Amino acid sequence: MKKGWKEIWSGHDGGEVGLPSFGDCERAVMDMESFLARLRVLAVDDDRVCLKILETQLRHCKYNVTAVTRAEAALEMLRARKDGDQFDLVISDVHMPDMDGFKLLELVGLEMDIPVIMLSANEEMETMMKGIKHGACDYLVKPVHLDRLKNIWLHVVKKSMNDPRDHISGANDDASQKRQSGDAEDEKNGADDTKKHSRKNKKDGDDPEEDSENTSTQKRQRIQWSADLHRKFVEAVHQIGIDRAVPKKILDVMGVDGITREHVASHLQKYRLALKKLSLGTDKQSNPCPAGTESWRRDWNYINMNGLASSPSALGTHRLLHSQSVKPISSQRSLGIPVRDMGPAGNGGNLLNAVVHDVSNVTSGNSYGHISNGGLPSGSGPSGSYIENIRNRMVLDADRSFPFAISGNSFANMSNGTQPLVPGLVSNSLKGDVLSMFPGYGPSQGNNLKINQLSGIAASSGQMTAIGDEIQNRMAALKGKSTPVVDFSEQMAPFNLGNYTSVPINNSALASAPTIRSALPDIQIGNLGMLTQMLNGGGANVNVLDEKDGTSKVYQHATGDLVGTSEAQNQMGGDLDDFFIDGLI
Amino acid sequence: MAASPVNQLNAHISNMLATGLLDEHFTALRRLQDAESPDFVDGLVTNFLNDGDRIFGKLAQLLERPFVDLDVVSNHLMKLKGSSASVGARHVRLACIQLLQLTSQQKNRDEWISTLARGRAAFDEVRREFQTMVQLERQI
Repeated sequence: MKKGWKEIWSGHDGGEVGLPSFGDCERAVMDMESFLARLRVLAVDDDRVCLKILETQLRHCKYNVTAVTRAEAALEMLRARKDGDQFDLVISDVHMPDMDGFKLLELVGLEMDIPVIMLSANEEMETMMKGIKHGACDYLVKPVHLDRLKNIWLHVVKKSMNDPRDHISGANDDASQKRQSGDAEDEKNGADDTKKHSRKNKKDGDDPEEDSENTSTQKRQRIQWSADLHRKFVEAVHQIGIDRAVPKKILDVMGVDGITREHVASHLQKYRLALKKLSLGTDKQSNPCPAGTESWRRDWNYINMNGLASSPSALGTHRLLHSQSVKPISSQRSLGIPVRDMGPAGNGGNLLNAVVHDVSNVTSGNSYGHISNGGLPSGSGPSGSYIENIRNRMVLDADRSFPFAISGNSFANMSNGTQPLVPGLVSNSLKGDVLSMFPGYGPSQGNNLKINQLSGIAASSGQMTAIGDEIQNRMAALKGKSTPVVDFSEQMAPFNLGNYTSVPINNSALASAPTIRSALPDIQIGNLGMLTQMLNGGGANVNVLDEKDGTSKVYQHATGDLVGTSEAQNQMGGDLDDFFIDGLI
Repeated sequence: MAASPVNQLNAHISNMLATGLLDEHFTALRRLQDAESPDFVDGLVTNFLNDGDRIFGKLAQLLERPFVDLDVVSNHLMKLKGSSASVGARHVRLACIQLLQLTSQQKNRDEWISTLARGRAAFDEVRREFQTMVQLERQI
């Protein structure tokens, strides 16, 4: 059988495993072409011109390329491949019609754990950062020069080297010793995320025949956490109790063949991180940061001075162009919001940003540990500083250019004048979904959680009277609908709110873009943008200059904060929920 | 004594490069073409022109509506920016950048339409030149 690229790299010939010798390196160099030919790259781009170019460039670099135009197809292919056969690397566009590139990125990271490179004409800083935060090992800006593709193999090697057990492992007994002590640790640190648990599930691309030749390496099969498997995992965890769930016990309860304690351990770590993310959001709800109030108020005053009427705030999914030929809008456009409301609202928005920020941070923790965990501050403390606001907003603005789905969160933001509910909206609702996955919590309970949120929002919208009343009415109307906790059928649905159904506000409040429009004909779109801006600290004058071509994003014009903000939230929430929901499909 | 078809083609392409209609990425694409795929560039160019045409059509449609979804507009523009940049169609890429900038500013419909028209003109220009190029190529 063909040798996997790893054999060539580490120079295994069935001999002792250790650091590659000079001879091994020589061999590796000489085998470069055959090495590259064994690297299976999956290229995904809905634009046929770009895809063709990318494919040709990669072939020119001697890679083994498969090119697809649909993210769904890519995912199918990835899921269909067995361990020894799996792709080594994915290169994917960011904005695709059938699935968001970031979502694909997350799923690949969770299910297959292979490196993903993002690729896009979008060179906005926040989009690029978002890519890294979601776990991309690199982000290339179109047009991509051939030279940029020559060395993508480094990402593959790097990723496999991150797993200490991979090719520099000790002898058998060393590994089993680790395993034993690992279990002991598990027992002690039930709820902690310790480094010892952080061993990744590294794929071993070896063929079965190779195993017999390499007795000194630990053969680790990459496990694919299918929806079914994940569901069993979640059930097991719930059965044992989240605080007492250790990999060994989970493994026992799951009763599935073919997975090891290590597989479970690594998956458990991801799961805990995700849960932590959610609970962090809840914590924020109860710990308002007064320090932030001042800066928000400052921002708001600035916006006020600039004049709301002329503020370029009418951005978002329903962004509207000023023009005589445009349908007349009611006079609510110039509704001014009293400054005193902005403190809490702004804070709420800010904290929400922080929550989301954390969300994104944690999700990408595994695949790009350095940057995502340590680079940007987690914003979990009182994010009162101006810089924090900006950074957080940048995270959320990343989705500004993402189309199509209206997020319910923006809607909720609009009507919500008080801070605690805003983060609560995201975190509690998400948590509601998470909890509802457990047998003990039925869907109805999940719904109750959400509906309570909604009534809270509606109730608190008193400050913004005109709009608030309108929203309250709409909310009340929509509340009556029964909302499934998780809308499985829309799990991977393209381009409607279904994508993010697990964030309940979406489901219950706003079904889809058209619905929003029809449901709120009188609502000022301009105001939506403005309000969201305000909640986000109103696009204080931060200019993020993307170099050349002057594609500068000026945050005071803040751009589709409406969609961007909530979209980002939904994105991250949705992605998180994919994590959980997959188990129930 | 007419120039040979190859010379004509090269001269034409040089001209497109000189006027800034195309940039070095187009040249790089030509280098990628080999005996195995002699229609590589032509195929790309043809697809680019068809897709670009479609996108401009959609953009015009979108901007006609009373409520313009600037996110959808933005997305189309980003796609076109990507394909034009990858193909080396410089003027079109720059036009896309200009239009994308509009999405972050408070512009009225008229300004959008006029900027779009300029973008369309740039696209039409490169389309004419590309079509000439393809014809010249077929004569070889």
